Amino acid sequence: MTAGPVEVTGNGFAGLLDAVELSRAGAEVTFTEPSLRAGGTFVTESFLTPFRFNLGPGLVRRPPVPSLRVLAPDPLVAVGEASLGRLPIDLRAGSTVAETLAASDVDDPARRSLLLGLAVLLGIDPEAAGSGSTLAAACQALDDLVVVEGGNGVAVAALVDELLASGGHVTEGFGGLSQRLPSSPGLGICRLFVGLRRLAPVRPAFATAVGFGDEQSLLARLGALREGRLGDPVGFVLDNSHLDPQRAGDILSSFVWQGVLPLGAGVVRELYAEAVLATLGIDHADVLFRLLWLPEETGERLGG
Amino acid sequence: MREFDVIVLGAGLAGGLPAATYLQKAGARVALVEQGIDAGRFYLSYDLLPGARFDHSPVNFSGLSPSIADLDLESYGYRLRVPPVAFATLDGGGESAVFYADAARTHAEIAKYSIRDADTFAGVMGRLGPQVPRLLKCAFYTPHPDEAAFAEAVEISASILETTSAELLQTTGIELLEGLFEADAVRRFLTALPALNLFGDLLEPGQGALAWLWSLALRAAIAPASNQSLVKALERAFVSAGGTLLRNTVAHEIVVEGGRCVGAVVSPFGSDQSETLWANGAVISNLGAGLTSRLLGEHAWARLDEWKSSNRVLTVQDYVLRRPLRLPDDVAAAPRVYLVWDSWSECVEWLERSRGDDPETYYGDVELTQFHHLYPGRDDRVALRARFGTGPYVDGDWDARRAEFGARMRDRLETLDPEFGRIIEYTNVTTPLDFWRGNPAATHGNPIGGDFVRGQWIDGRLPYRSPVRGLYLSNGVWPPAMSWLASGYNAACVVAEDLGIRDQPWWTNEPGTWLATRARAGAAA
Repeated sequence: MTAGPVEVTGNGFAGLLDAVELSRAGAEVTFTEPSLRAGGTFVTESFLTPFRFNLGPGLVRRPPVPSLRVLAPDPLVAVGEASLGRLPIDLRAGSTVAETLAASDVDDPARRSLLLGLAVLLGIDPEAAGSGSTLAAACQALDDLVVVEGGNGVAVAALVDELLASGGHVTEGFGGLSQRLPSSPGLGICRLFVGLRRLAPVRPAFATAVGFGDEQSLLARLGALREGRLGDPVGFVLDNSHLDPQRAGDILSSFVWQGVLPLGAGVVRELYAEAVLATLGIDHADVLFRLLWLPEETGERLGG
Repeated sequence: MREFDVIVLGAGLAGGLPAATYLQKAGARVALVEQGIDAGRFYLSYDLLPGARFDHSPVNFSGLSPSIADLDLESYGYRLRVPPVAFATLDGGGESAVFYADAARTHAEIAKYSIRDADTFAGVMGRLGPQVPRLLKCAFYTPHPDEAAFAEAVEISASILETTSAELLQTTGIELLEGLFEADAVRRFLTALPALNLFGDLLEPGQGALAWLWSLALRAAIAPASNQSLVKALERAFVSAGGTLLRNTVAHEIVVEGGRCVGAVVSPFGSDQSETLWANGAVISNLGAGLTSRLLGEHAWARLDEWKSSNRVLTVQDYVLRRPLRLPDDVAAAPRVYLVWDSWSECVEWLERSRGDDPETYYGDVELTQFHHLYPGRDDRVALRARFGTGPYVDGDWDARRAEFGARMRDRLETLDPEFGRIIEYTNVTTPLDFWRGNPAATHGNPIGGDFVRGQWIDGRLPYRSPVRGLYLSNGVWPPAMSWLASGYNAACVVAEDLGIRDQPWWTNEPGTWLATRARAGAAA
C-alpha cells in the first residue's frame, strides 16, 4: 500500500496510468499536465468541427481501462491486394525487418509486403537497427491492437475521472504552448485530418496502404524520401468511422491520412495536402475540413 | 437500473455543466449526460498547429460569475488575470481607440475625438462601477422572467445614464449613443462590442439602450491555462463532489410518466444498447436538443412555434500566421481588435441591415482575436481569429459560401497588412452550418440559443420551469451565451428551490465581486 502525497507530471498516457495506479494503491495523487491535455498522443480533438480525430495513432494497444469500449478492426492492414488479420504471428527477431523476415522464412511476397507495411504503420523504420525485434514483438500482440470507440481521448477522460473520484487532483495547460521535436534528419509521420460531407471511400482494411503495393515499391519510396525526393504521397488511409458524427439528413464522415515524410524538409503544407486528396480522388467540394500536421508537429518519428 | 435525483442532459458551459455542479455540491445525486468526450464543447481550446493555440470561444467573462467563488474553482486549478488592455477599435481610415483597464488612459483615447465624450464616458463608467454587482444580479443572475428584478435592473440603468426608467424603456441604443456622444468615431467605437457580443437588438426601444449599457458591465479576463481550464475546473468540481459524468453518451428520449418528467433514455456513443436513467427530482435539458423541443411541442407549448433562432449567427475564420498582423502600435497590443464601420451612418445602416436577411451584414463588424496575447509562445507561429457577423442564417448553402467568405475576409485583412496573404501558414473557415453540425443544439448555427427580436428578450424569453412537471430548461432562457455561467446558475437556483436544497452556506456569493477584488489587488500590486 502506497500512502501520502505523490506528484506525477505529464509523461503522456503512461504518466496518467501511473497516477491512477498510485491512486488505486491509496496515495494522494496530484497529476500536473504541462500541455493543454493530459494523455500525450492519446488526444482526440474536434478543433472547431463536427469531427473527431485522434491526434496520435488510431490503432493502439488495448488501454487498461475496464470501462472502455474498444473495437477490434479486421483486417488491420491492406497492402496492394493482400490484407493482414489479427491473428498473432511468431517471428524470429533479427536486427532489421529484412533480417527478421529472412530468419523467420517469410518468403511469400504478399506476406512480406504486409509485414513491412505493418511496420511502417506502427512507426517502425524497417531498415533501422532494432526494427526487427520491435516488429516481432508487435506481431505477437496483433490481437491486442484496438481502436477506442469515440476516440483515444475517451480513455484519458475515464482515467482523469477515476483519479478525481478517488480524491486526486488534476491540472492541465500551465506549461505553455506545445512544442514538438525540432527538425532533424530522418523520416517521420505526418497526419492529415480530413472531414467530408459525404461518406468516406470504403477501404478494405482499417489501414490501407497508398503509394506502394509491395515490398520493393515501399522500400524504393522510403529511399527516395530519405534523399528528400517527395514524389507522390506514401502512407495509409485510416478508417475513422468509429469517431464519425451521426447526423440525420447530413452525411458527414472523416478519415486520417498517416503519411511518411522526411523531417525538416520544408514541405509546403497546402501542396502536400492537395497531393494526398488528389491521390485519393477526393473532390474539393466535399471537403469540409482539412488540417495537416507535419512530422515535426506530430512528434512521431519512424525509428527502430 | 440507475437512479438519480437530477439528470442533466448536455454539459454545456452556459447551462448544464454549472447547473449540475451546483446541484451536486448542494447534496443532490446528479448524472450529467454529455455526447462529447469533454463537457463545454463550445468553450474548449486546441492547438490548431503546435504553437498556435485557439479557444472555441475566445472571450472570458467568468470572473463576473459568483460560481468561481461558490464552487471554489480555484481549488480545481482555475486561474484568471485581468489584462491592462481590454480591447481596441479600428476603422478603415486608420482612426482607432484603445480601451484600457485604467480609466485615465481610456479617457485620453476618447479625448482624441472629443473631450466632452471622454468625460461623458468616464461619468457613465464611474457610476456603473459600484452598481455592477447589483446590476448583474438583477439582469443576469436571476431566473427570469422576473418582473421585479427586471424593473430594478432598469432603474439602476436609468440612474447610471441619468434618465428615468420610463424614458429609458423608450430609447433605442442608437438614440442613446447619439444623445450621449457627439463624435462620430466615439459612437462607432462604442457600438462595436454590443453589436457583436449581443445582449439585445440595439434598434429596439428599451432593449437597445439597456443592451448597450449592460455590455459595458462585462469585463473580460484571461485564463492563462486556456479558456478550457474553466470547463475542466467545473468538470473536476462536479466529479470530485461525487457527480456522475456520463461522457460520450447520447440522450435519445426524455421519459414522462403521469405528466411528470421522470428520466431519460441514453446510450453510449456508437452503441445501440440504451439505458433509462431515472430522476427522482428533476431533468434539466436544452431547448436546442430536438428531443426537448419535440417533447414540449407535444405538450402544446405554443410559444415554441413562435421561437425564432436564425438571425444571430457568426462565421469564424482561423489563421495560423508566420508573424503577427501589422497594426498600429497601441491597437496591436490588444487581445481583441474590432474593425468597425467608417462612419456612424454606415454603422446605423449596418444595424438595420442585420435585422434582415442580407448576407452583406457579415462584413460590417469584425472581431480579431490575437491569441498570442492570450497564450504567449512562438513568435513565428501566431494564432489569429476573425469572427464576424452577426447576420442571418440565410439558408443551408453555407458550404458554397465558405470560399467567398474566406476570400473577402482575407482581402479585408490585406488592407491592414499588405503582406497578409504571404504570412498565412494555415487557414480554416467555420460557417454557421458547421456550428450546427458540431452541435445540433446550436439551432440554425446560433450558438447562443434564440434571437433578440421583440418578445424574445429578457422579459419575454422562456422560463426555466417548463410546462412539464420536473422538466427544466438550461438554455433558450435568459441570459444567453456562455462564460458568465448565468443560465446554469439560474437553472440550479430554480431546481434547488423546488428540491428544498437551495439554502447552502457556500451558495451566497455575489456576481462581479470576485473579479473586482482581484483587479483591485492587481492594481495595488
